[in-house]
Amino acid sequence: MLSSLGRYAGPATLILSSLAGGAKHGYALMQDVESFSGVALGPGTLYGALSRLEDAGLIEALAGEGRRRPYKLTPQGAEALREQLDAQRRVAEIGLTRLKAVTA
Amino acid sequence: MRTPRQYGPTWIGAELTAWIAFPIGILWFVYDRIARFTGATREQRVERMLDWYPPEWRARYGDEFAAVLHDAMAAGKDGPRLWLDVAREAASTRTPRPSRAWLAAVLWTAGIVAVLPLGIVSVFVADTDPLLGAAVATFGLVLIAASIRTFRTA
Repeated sequence: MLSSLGRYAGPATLILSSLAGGAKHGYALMQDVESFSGVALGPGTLYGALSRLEDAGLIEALAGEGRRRPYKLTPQGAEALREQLDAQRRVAEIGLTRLKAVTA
Repeated sequence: MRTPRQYGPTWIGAELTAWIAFPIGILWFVYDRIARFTGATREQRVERMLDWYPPEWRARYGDEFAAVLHDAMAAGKDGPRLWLDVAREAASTRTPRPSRAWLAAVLWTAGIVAVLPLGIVSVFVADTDPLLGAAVATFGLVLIAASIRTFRTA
């Protein structure tokens, strides 16, 4: 499902992974993503991905705290994230297995 | 193909204007815009960046996006990287996804026209300067590459 987002699938996976740990507003998302992945999402990239994820029904906005509006994962978002991470895990496992054969 | 010298002094004046004054004018315009942007206060820069987005997007995300921009700038991330990130996404937001397929088709057609009739064929049929033909054909190849990239992200 996330692969249909094209070049936005990368930021989307990072954002959904962050939201899997609980609802967060925009700047907290940027900081969390940077802390666990080392990827510094720009505000433009972040909100581009957030608007697409919201349009796809994978996240939803909660009531705001002033100008900051937190987002949370929807059940469809959790399912899409699980599929994406499973696919990435399969690639990682194959890559690591082949790498082990090469370096052995 | 006639050289500018064969067209006389008037044509040379027009050539000089086209090749020197026009690029200088564009560079001056860009420099002026950047100077105004970087010389503005943080609040003004945020307002200008919000203006890059379509009104309906601003109505939905404007307030929270402005808050994130303020936070990012306060954390020392105010610079060309931030502005380019926002400009790229704003441009993408202003380009509806279905129209990217049309854009790809237009780029493809323009590329084919530039490579074949204007580039390669004109060198043999219309006695165009081979260097000019090669330049136009190369530009056409760039358009074709851009069309493929646009189509893949449509």
